[in-house]
Amino acid sequence: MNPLQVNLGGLILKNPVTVASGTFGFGREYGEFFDLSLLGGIAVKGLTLKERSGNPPPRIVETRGGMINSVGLQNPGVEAFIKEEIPFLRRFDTRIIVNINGDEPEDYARMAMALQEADIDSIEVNISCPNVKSGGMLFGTDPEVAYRVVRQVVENTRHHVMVKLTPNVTDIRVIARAVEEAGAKAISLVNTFNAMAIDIQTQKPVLVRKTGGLSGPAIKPIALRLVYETYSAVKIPILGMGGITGAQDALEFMLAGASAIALGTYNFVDPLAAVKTLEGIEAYRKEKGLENLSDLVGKAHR
Amino acid sequence: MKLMTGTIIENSRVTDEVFKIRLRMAQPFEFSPGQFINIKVSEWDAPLLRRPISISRRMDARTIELLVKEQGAGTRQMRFFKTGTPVDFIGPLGRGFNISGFKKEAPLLILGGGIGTAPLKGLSRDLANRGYTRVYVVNGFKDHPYGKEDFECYEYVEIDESKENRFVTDHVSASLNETDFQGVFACGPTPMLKRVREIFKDRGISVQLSLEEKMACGVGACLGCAVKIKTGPFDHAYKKVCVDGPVFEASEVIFE
Repeated sequence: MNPLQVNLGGLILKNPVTVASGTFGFGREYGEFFDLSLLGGIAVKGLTLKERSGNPPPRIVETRGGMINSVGLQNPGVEAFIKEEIPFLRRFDTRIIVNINGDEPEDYARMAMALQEADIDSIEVNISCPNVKSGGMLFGTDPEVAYRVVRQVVENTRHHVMVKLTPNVTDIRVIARAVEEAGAKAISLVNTFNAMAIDIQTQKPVLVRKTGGLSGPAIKPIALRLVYETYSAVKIPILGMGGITGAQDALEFMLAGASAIALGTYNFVDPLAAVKTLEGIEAYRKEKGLENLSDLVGKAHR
Repeated sequence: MKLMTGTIIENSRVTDEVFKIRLRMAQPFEFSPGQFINIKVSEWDAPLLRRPISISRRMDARTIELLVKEQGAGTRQMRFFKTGTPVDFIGPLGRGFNISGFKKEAPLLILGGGIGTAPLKGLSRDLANRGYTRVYVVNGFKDHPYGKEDFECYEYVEIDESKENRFVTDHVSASLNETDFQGVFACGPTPMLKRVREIFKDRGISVQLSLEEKMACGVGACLGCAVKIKTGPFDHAYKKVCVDGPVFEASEVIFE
């Protein structure tokens, strides 16, 4: 058996290295730098039912060790994705994880239905986007709404369902349990942290919507702690992310309880970061004499 | 676009705020005027993100020059780049100036503002190399003008705003006949670009503006560097400065 293979609640990845939604487009850009078949999976840019133009600029601001974004789910809509992007992504031997979003709870089920016949591997229910007026993160901060959204998706799809959680809650375990109960097969966490930057010349927040989502190495220790906590709270596996820059970070997430990991913001810094992370993980596996990499998962809990 | 390494062969001061860096690659490096590179400025990820810097001009097949203005943490680090050290960058990126479609004898106008003059140097030389003989350049600076010697053109006008109390666009309105030009290329602060668009509106000529926006990836993945662009008489969309630009036709740009 492939020693790097991991099982995310029925979604088999050939290795634990994936890339996070919103940081990798639909794969075309970074496909210029390396063979996308090296990745365990690709979570595509967040999709909505209809095309969406996104937020006005400025959309990003760099802060110490990270960046705050307010892209606002600019995307071509699910139909265009199915027609234009799936055929491209299917040329590679990697899992296609489709990040779905909605303004109202029912939109998620509508998205799932639109994707019913599509050739994809997983649906990532995004109840954690902080950059939209309605929906998004609002659904991921209330366990009852989170349950309802996920339940409706599970009842309306034949695909593997994963739920992406927001860290902007008092106790992430409550939300994690709610989506597990609703039938999610896996959990991905974390999305970005609500954050702000202020321009001292204009004396106003830099971003038009005032706040945005903080990502990058600055959030890693908090994301790691959230993965650690969630691991003890649920039985379904975790796709861990938040500030991962390389193998060392990735291994920490696995030890904390992530079955697989995603690189996000660091793809922007080093387009080859995901590939290097995979190489580093494999080197560690050999060095430690592990027959299966997944034996590492949650080991920090002993 | 490729992940590349260049070696710093020169990093020298131009003014108090502006410096030039010459980068030599192991292989010949192809680019067109107006394109940029996204540079990793810190080995320690401080700052984290790469910095998009336009290519000022070509020195030889393997060497390019960048003109950089110190404006923040990233450019400050670049100022201390040491000669002989390697630099990691992605490039060439974006769509540069489009100079096809002009007759060789066509009068063309290049307008630069401050550090925005950087990519215009390469443009003026490229036009000269291609046999364009009537290229007018008007460059404006807040103070301490620089770079005149690097332009190759028919006429060069330099404006020192601290002494003259007028802008590049004032010179265009007052001293040049805007109906004479068949193409305009501009790079500079947004108010200047807005004014350039106004002056040449409805003339039916190509007015190409090089825009700037904060970037993360530089390759089209993050959607951070959005600019509002007309896509039809009543429609618009956010395009990416990094791959759809940085050069756009003025008539398409919606300044917000």
